[in-house]
Amino acid sequence: MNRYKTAILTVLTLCFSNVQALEVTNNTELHGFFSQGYVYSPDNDFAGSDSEDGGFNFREIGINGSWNANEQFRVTGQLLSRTMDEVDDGQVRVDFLLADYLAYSGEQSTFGIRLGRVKNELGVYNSTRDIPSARPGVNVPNAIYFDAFRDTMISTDGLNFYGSVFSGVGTLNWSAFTGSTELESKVMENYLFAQDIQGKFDEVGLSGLKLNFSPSRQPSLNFGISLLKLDTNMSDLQTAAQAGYALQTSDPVTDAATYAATPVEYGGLGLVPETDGQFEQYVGQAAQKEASDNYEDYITAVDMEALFAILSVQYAYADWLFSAEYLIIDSDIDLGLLGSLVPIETTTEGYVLQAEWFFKESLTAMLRYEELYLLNDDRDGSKSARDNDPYHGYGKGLTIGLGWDITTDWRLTGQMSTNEGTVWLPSYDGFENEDIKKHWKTYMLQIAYQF
Amino acid sequence: MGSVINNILHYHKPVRNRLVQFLMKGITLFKRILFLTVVTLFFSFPVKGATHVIVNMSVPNSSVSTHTLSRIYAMQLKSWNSGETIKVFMLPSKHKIHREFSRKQLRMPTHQLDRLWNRLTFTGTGRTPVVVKSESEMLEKIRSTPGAIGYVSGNLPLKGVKVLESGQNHE
Repeated sequence: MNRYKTAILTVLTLCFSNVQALEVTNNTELHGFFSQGYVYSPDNDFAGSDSEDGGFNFREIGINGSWNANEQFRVTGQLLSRTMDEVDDGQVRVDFLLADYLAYSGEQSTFGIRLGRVKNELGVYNSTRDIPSARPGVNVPNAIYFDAFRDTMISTDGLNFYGSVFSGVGTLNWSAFTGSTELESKVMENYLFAQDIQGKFDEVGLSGLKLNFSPSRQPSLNFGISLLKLDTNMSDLQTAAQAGYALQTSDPVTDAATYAATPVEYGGLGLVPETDGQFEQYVGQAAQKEASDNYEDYITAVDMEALFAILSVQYAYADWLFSAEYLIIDSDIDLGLLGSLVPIETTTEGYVLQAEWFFKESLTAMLRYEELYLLNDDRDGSKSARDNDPYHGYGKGLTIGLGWDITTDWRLTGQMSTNEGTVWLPSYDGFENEDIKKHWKTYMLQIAYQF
Repeated sequence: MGSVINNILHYHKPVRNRLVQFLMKGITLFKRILFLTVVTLFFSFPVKGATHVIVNMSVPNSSVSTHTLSRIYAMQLKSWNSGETIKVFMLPSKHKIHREFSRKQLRMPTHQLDRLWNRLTFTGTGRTPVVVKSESEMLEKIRSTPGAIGYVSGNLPLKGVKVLESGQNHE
């Protein structure tokens, strides 16, 4: 069914591909885009097994329409299919669908309301991470827009207030939103527990604010601050009693009980279960070890609250565009283990520095350096090392890219990155069986079209 | 002390060469700074562009500042002081006159404008300027659309539209 829908979308996009920004009537517009990527990632599989020898399973198709009832009221929506090897199967989703009412528009300010599914404006690139023509390279910076929170951050079903204030000092644009979003993928689970555990995240509550200021004296400077608060919990988890029973009947615990009850002459401890306190103590130790070794199997509650803050600065000078962004995430997770709550607080920190040089009319060069630390007090990532991926706690990456606008509608982008640490290496089902390397390179090529 | 330095300069050619090189580098650097300063100063004064900003006769304004013009083309400012809705028109991104307009009148590289409009379209946050194919079509649209703003080169007779004075010093 999904393949079928994707095919329809592709045909639709191609049908319109020889028309520029199709204006169906005076008030209705149709736009679209598609991209096809090639990823060669020889060291670590990027988003699946294909890319190790070079893979073409990377695609984006979007089609969007808008209807402007009058100067104040409009309705607009977009369908999006995103294929990213094992990470995203190209299922067609409603990217946004909203009614927009410009309530006030004057010389000094504007103010409006949007209702529906609205893309979240956070940082420089959150709302355009899937739009090839609005990205600085093949992808947006990993250190700020890493995949683990993509589905959580991308859009909100709810309300969005927005506006601008114009004064002699400068222009202030603001956007505030509140609502919720549904989570379909297991990315969050993989991110938190490095595996698919029983239970699921489904709804995430979101509220956010973005302020953007550009001073009159230096309009080529742009300052942004974005805040996002999210809270979510897992449902369909096991009860404390079920988890307790699972622990009692786990192999290490039953093995320990059998061994303790086996008479000494047969190599056991010969402890009598009914009377001997030593027996309980021995089996208890085994249970404790099992519960901490494999805690993922005994989770009874997951309650998560996180606050994201992104600071952004952009400066345009002649043919150059410099961007710098800093991200901090404060997460509070209440983890229920066998019925008792374990509070976990973490701070994640990342930044990116990027220079783009528009050196020819149709050519752009890009240089980007970025770092991300899952725990900000664990720079070498040792605390967040995982059995299957010891380098999961951090990432440092250097990327160079080149973009070529073949025509106004066609664009070819190439990019190569060298990375240390795997925090932004996308995870997927089967990721745990990969042999993960600390230093890894990726080579990406993408052709994109839009109308 | 002086004689020591003299000695070095006279008898130690490598040292002297290095000193000369160092001085030359300093001069080059100074020249570059001077050049950049001149360029910056040059760009901070209004430049008479070859493009003219034109509006429909319904627009009461007689001039527009660079800042207001960029707010209009960024689709942020949506109404004239009179309350009338601004209708924004543009030539295709690759058009020579468009490039000149964005560089000289908006002080923004065309790439940045393109990216900004792509963002508006594909995130559902706003409309983009109406693209016209030629300068004559631009003139025609501005003439016939109340609240319209656009630009043309000085090569066409500007009848039936109003030319706005533009630049850093205008409001």
